[in-house]
Amino acid sequence: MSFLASIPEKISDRLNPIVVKELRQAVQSRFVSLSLVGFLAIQVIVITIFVLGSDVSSEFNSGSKIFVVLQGILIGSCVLFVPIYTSARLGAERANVDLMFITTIKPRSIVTGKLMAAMILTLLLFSACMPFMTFTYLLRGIDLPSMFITLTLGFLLVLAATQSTILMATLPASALARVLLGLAVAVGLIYAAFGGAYGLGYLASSGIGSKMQDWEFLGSMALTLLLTAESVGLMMFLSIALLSPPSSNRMMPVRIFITIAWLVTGVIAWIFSDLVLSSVVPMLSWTIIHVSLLCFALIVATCERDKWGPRVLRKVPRNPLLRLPAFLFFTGGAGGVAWSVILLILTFGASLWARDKLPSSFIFSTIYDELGIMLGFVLYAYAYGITAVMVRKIIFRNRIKTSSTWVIALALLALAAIIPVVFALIASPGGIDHFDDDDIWLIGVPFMLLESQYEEKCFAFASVWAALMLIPGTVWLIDRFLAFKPHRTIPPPLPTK
Amino acid sequence: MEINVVNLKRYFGKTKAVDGISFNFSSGHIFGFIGPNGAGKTTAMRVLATIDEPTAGDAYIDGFSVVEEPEKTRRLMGFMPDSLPTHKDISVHEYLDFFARAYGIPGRKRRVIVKRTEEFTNLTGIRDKMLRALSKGMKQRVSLARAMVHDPSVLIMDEPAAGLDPRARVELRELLKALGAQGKAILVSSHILTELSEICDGAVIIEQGKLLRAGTMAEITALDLKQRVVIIRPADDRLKELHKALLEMPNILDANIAGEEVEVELDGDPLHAAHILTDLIKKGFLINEFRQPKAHLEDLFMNITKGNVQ
Repeated sequence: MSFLASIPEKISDRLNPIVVKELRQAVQSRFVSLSLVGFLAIQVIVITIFVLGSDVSSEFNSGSKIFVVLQGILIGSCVLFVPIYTSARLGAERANVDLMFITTIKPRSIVTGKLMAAMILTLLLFSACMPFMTFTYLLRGIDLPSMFITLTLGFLLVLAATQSTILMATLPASALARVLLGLAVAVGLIYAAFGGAYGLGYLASSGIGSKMQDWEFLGSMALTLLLTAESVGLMMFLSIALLSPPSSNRMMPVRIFITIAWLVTGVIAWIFSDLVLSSVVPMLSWTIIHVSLLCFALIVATCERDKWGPRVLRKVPRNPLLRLPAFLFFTGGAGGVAWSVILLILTFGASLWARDKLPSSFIFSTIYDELGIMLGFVLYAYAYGITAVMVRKIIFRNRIKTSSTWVIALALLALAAIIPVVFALIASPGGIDHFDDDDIWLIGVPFMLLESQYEEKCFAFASVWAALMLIPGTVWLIDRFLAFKPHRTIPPPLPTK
Repeated sequence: MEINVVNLKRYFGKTKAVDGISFNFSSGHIFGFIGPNGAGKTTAMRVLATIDEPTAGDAYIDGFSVVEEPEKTRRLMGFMPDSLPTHKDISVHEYLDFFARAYGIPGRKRRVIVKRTEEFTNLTGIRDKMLRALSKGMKQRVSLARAMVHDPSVLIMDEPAAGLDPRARVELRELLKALGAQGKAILVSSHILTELSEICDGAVIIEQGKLLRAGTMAEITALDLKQRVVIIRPADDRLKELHKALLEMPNILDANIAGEEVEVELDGDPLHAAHILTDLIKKGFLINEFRQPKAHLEDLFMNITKGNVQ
């Protein structure tokens, strides 16, 4: 075989097997074929109605009008169709060991392959729409940057929606939970489809070409791209972790990704705050997003396995100096909580440092004062998370699955919201009127931090509770760190004769 | 190639699905993995296939641990789960090509291997058919082809004959025999013990997660068959005389005429059969056929297990 003739085969060999399979299936799928034909038919009908129904020769923005409608149809159908098609297939395969673990294919290849195949399908739909879009340019009223930028943003929206549904499809859930999850995803997608179509239509008709030298516009676009990249990346790593066997070190890539994303986005937010916009908004956005993310990560960490299997322990560094960072990044509840807490402290530290360094207007400094509320939420997350772990370990004596610790935390929250209220209603002769501004019955509910009359009491309560939980939390952390030792390999038995 | 299972345990809370089982078998052997429902067969097989992790113990395939080096053992082993392929919009050939790609087999070699696998499993005629259009038997065959597409030395098969019609079962049996003859080590679980009897040269019997017996059929038979059967066919017409002589011999529990043969039941000692043959020849009987039918797994299974479930 000549060198040139062997090139297609070499390319074929390098392709992700999942992409090859998915595209072969898409080509054979009646659903995909019918959707594509239907989609083209709708585009033809819409453009025919517009051209025949209005005086395009005298109107100077008829191109813009038709583009907005066509783009709306394109983005709306892609945001609905591609994620549902992709996640439905993955969900069906997830319930079966067909694909997952019986080959040497890695979960990473499965997730990236599914996403890549979905994006190729999206490109196919976009390219089918291109002749109609080009036609709108000839009808005037729309510039090329508006077309390209809004279509790119639309593509990113489809990418994010698809990755989010891939994440949903990888969640281990019962049939009923899957149905409920599917309904929730469908509602979310409908919102995303209509919202995306409307927002991008507005953006396209407002003329992006004129804003190309506006730093504020470019900054917000860059921030949007950065956040999309981070959220898609995070969802991708979470999907890979969920597809990986529970016995594997599946949280390590997620933690490494979050740490790198936290650092990179932090630096970029600082550059935008200090050099580009001279505003605290990027830094503040970074803080809010990462505090929320890390609080979620803290609760997730409490649901991770407490004991490591040989598959994880064989990768524990033998060097004691490397063992500490490994403990923070490896799969494991205590290490995960410690990693979340360290990053949360660093986030607050960086945010306060930025506040002192940056020029800020009164409004933004007021918003910065709300960091106290965010700190309150963090204290609640820590207190509830560690209490749930202790309840699981001490009261239930590990009879409840580690992965269900979040249910205990949720139950504790429910108890904190209901029991004091019931007690107050029984104990108080005034009944419901007993709840005036001075009462403390709802201090167990984190959301009461948002109520000004509760804010201080809630913060104090969360601080004391978190400080108390610091003791068992630290004991748990030390105990798990001492158990974090390299696995002693047992040699295989000698072959029998 | 040696497969060693060492003190394998898999607990789910208080349930001991697999409770310290150990056995081994090697290339060219087909071992039946048998036990009542809920005995822990599928759990043990999932651990061997690296889908699940054991609570304790380990299994080694050619010296590689399924716990510590699952990636290496997956290359050496093909797993056929009890579920059928779920993909619909894909042809048999594309499906096998996908799995060959998933094992990283490059272009030209992949084409040859997939073609050979299709021929071996008799799928060539239906290679362009969609999976959704296949019968259960055909799907089982595709599932087997998928498990062996990377030419593994070890095959682990969970209930491969479940739900197959008699013809498909015979075909599967022949395929397994051919694979055994190729030198592959095969561990196959099935409820159809008569089928396994025909092809297995060894068995692993478990109940409530515990190992009851493991070894070659001869080893297990020697231990567990309280009585054995010998079929004797005389070369002349002295059938009744032979029957009478047999009934007078020691260690014979019963003897019955069945057509032109005498079916003799004797106690479990394998030497007694040899003594009977010697005595008959000394007494001047002309013997055309003297055979011991292969011990049926069903009999062994019933003798060994108690039917307990957890």
